Amino acid sequence: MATPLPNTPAMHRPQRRDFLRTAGQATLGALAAGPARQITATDKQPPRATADAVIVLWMGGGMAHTETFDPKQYTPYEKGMSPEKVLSTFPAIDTNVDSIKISQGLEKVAQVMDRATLIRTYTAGDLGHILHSRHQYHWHTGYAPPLTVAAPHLGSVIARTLGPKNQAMPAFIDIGQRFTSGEREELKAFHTAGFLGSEHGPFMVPFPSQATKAVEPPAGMTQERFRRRYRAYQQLAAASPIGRHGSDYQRESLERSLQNAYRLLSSPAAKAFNLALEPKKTYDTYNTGRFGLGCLLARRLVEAGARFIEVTTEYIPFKHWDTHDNGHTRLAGLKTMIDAPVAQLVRDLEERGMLDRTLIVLASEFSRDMMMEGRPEKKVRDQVKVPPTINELKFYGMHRHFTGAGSVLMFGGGLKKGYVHGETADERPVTTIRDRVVIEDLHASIYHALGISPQLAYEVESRPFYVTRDGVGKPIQSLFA
Amino acid sequence: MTTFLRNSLLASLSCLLSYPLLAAETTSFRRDILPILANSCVKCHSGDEPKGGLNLTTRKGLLVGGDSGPAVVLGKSDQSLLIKLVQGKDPDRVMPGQGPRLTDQQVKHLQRWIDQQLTWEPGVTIVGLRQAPLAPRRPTIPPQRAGKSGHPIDRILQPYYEAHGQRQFTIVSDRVFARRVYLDLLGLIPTPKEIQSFLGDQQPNKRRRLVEKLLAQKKPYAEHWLTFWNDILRNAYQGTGYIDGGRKPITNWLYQALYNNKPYNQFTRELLSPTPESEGFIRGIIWRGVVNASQVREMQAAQNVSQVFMGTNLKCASCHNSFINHWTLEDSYGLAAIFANGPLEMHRCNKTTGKLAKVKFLYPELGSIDAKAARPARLKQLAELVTSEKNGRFTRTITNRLWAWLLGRGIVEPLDDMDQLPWNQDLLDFLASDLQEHDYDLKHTLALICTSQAYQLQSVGAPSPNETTFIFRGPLVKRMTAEQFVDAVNKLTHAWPTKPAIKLPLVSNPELTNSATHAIKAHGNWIWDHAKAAQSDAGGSVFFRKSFPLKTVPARAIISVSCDNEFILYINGKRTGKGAEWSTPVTIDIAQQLKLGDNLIAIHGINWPDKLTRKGLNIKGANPAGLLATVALGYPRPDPKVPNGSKPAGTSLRWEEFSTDGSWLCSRTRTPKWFQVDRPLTKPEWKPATPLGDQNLAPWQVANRIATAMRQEAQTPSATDQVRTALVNDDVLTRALGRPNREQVVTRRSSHATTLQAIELTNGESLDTALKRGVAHWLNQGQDDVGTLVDALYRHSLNRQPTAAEQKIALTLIPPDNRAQGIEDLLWILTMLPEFQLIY
Repeated sequence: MATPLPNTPAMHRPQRRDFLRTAGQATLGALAAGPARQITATDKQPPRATADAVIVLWMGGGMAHTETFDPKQYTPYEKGMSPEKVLSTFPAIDTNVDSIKISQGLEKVAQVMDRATLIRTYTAGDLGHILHSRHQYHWHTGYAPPLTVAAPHLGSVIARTLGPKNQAMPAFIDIGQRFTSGEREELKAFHTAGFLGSEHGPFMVPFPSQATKAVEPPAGMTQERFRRRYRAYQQLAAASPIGRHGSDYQRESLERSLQNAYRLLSSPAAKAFNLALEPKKTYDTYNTGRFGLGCLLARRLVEAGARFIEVTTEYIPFKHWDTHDNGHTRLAGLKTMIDAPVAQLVRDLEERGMLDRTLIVLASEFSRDMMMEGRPEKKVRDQVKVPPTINELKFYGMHRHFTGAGSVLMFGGGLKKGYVHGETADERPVTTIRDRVVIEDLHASIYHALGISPQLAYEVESRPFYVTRDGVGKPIQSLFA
Repeated sequence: MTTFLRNSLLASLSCLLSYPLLAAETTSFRRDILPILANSCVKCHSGDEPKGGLNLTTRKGLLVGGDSGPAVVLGKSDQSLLIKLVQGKDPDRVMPGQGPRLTDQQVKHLQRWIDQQLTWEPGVTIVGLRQAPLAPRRPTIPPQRAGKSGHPIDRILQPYYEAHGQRQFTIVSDRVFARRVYLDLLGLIPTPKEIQSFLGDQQPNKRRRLVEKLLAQKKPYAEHWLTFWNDILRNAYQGTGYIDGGRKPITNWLYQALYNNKPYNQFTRELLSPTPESEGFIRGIIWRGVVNASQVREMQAAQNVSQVFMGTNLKCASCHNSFINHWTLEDSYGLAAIFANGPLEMHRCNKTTGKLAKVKFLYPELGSIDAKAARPARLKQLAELVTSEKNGRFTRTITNRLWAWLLGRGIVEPLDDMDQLPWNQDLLDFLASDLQEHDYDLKHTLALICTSQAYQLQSVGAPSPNETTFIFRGPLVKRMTAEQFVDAVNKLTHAWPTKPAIKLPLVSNPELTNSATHAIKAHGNWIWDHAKAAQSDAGGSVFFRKSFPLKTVPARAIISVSCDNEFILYINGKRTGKGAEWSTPVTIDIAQQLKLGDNLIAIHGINWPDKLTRKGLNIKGANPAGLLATVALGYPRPDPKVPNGSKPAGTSLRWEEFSTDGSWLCSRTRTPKWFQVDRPLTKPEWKPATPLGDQNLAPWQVANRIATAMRQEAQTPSATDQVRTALVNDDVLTRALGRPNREQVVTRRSSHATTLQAIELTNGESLDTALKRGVAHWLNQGQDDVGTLVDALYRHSLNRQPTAAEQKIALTLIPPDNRAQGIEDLLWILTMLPEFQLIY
């Protein structure tokens, strides 16, 4: 029983020999609050990168696997049916890979399945009584709150580790998320670079159709005036007596940061934010609403050199994928919302020869089920009442929060094509029966694709903070081509 | 088998530095051995002349040994000298020579480690973990040198300067001093008038007097230091955890404590042994669901109390014995157990150890805590121990924080690790003991530091992040916090927010609250729609309206409403308040809702049982019904003698009052939009209300309650004051500038300038809006001469006149045909200048 596990944390690394020494010294780094120090992960070579950029397509609210990418027996609506009987409320459809079937309503995605790696056994963390934002925090940071230090978002870790691909482009761009609804504070808590410092935080673009505002001079200001204003700033900064004090780290960093912003706002890269420059036909293909346009924006930004992009359907309690009622009816609409843009994103990137180096990850914090809240071995408190018989359409659908299995659809970035990972039961509970995937390993796989070790750590308060929890994440090698 | 191990892994949630997979029967160098060597051995057995010639900082040292031969025989613990000595078998040579004996478990680990070939992490050299002395110490203050400052801080530092070869000192000008001290103590840029009056002061000790004057400004002081303390105590107006009642704010308590400059020992006692108002700090933050064992409420309290008040880190030791300091899992659980309501099970790396935590205080030298006492008694004992006069660590930790806030860097760094060596022990010890001698008055310490020559030296640039040695040469240039920056912009542009995010707390001032001669009388009449209502009413809804004209909008408009049984209040057509308990009058400020001309108060009164609203339907039979509303309108009565900010809120107003009476109209019929101002009323539904009696009428007798509530509200800082950024919720701009979400204790803000900040500053809506409001303000000053305007903008933003060169550049920016645009651009430039954003 005392056999060491294969994935013992990366503790015994010569690179960290100075650890106790630095802990014993007053470091000035904390003062100037420069970037958090990186602790090299292993004495092995880091993995060879198969991708340069990541696009996360976030199905916030809990996307039912049985209604999307893991269809089970179709149990059509009948008045008076027993809820236990309901498995999938849509029929399965064929895809362009013989062995893979997905749910009706995803016909366009079905036609790009031959480029996909489909994980069917993502198993969310055991966080007890469900709070969506807490599971989302866990998905995005790999850690469950509360925590003693502010954990960085996956995108921030990538931004900090790899930096921007194009210097004029923010490394981490988050599309579609506002902080206005319930749980906004919980959402804010992980849309951050945490202790890595705000330099690596998300550049927020809540409305893709207005994205260009984020990288334009203030409303009503011409480029010419914008240039004049910045020039005058430079002159007055140089004329200011404090500007002649000689070398000063803070003054210089203030001026440099403003210069970077000025460069972005006047650079050609800023055009990538402008969806109006897209041909109408393409625009219309993507335009299923905010999410669809977000996918189009993501494509343009990746082309312009963005490193990490997340496009969210936006989590709003009881809205979108958070189907506490009317699951069947609502899922039909949600699938329409994602089907065309997701498929088109894959095709567009492929056409531009970028799919191989861009990893697309479509995921959700957990799945949903008609009956089970939590999962068989870890049931949690029910949040949705299920009537003994279904007499109204509004009770027909996956309304409870299920953590036993969930689908993650991935494309590109060096992964296999037309591949399914893991298997779930065909009968309730429709849970994982083979090849469970946990967040640490999913993250490790994403990092692996980018050439980052899952045992990489950053130093905070004299301690290492691993990019996968305690460094335990292991890339799922079988996903890679 | 693999599956099983995977699952067991899943069960162990986040443990930041864990060895969750190693059973207690195994020995890990880092987990088990390193702490023993670091805590118990290397203090003596290290350095150039290790005791007994034995160096225990490296593996080689153990094998080579010292004067008595090798310390270990590889693979043979039973033959190793080290084991004999730590087992205490030779009474003349028991090791460790200092400090506590090793536990049996520790000895076992050493034995196993030796038997398993002394595995050592490659390259590691153990550095002893310093533990700073705990007792307070009053250093001897060197005599004043001829021609040198007589300030005790400077007398202490004089030998330090000499030792570091520093002879040249530049004291900053009055102008720079004033700007620095206004920003440091009140968080605000001084106005040109304030600068002028300071420069013009010809009396002696003017810098000391300025410091004292600023510290006497209770409101701006409290609202500035709220930022510092909200960060440290992770108090937020909105944030994670509130969603499920997993968090409790302490804003009211904190604001009052700062306003009244509560002595720091008392302040701390009230946080550790709290009232309902201050209990939020030790209650911690819980989101929904299962929490890692190292983050349960008790453990959060232990971590935060030790970090905040004693400058030490228990975060590692909450999971396993720490290897960044000497704390053990037992130590952390010992402190956590003090906060526990029942038995607290110990976990190592989120797995139960099968043991219960034993109550234990971190520093037994200060005393102990009675494990058998009830929780409130334990907390009281804890509060006494932490704030004990014998606890020099308590005063050193806070004075070090204040020094760092003012001079940019602590005497000890990091601020949360007070075991590190200070760059000047005497200075630290003096500040700490001086605080204690001055009744823990933090304002005294601030004044002491700000009046020293050390504080008044010309600032020096912040060090590069790679520097590792520090020599004090003067205050470091600091960057404004998000709050200081936005306040500075709002002050320059007159774009203050109109509403604080929180109901500003009552600032207790017993003298005024209880004054029988207070300006607010709070007299009034109970009314209903029939004369017998105070004795007997069958129930139902009654609608009341009162119109009143205003020629001036008052600064304050306080309404207090009591209704038996319930009411809904509308001001000018907008639902503004409600109440369901007549004995607690609802008392609020409605000044923001009032306007010039006709205003309307409409109240939906409900007496149970009421069929219309279906309220109180279980009430059978008639019961008393009545409505009492009292309104006090406060108009400014300027008093030039009282400086703005130091006056208690509400005292300088002239109050006009009115109340419910026969001039109010009432109706039993709910006509559509009856609460709208311009709704024409038709008789016979609407008739005059019937007065029942004055505020002392039985059965209610609420006169005192209403008067107290209204007077208290009057003293609450009003929404019409300049609303400081510390009082509003975070937004994109303040988040970008580093305002933390207060999920963790934050004792220092990042001063790092980032591109994302700069983008927000360049085109963000929040700043853009403020600047546009600034244009409106500055164009309204009746100043036609652009040169004079540029001059004024420089004086208001940078506290100095522009140079001729600056004038010239600024003027080219402001074309005569588009002054608004030019001023907007100049305002942006001024606020972006390092000279504006840095405290130098």
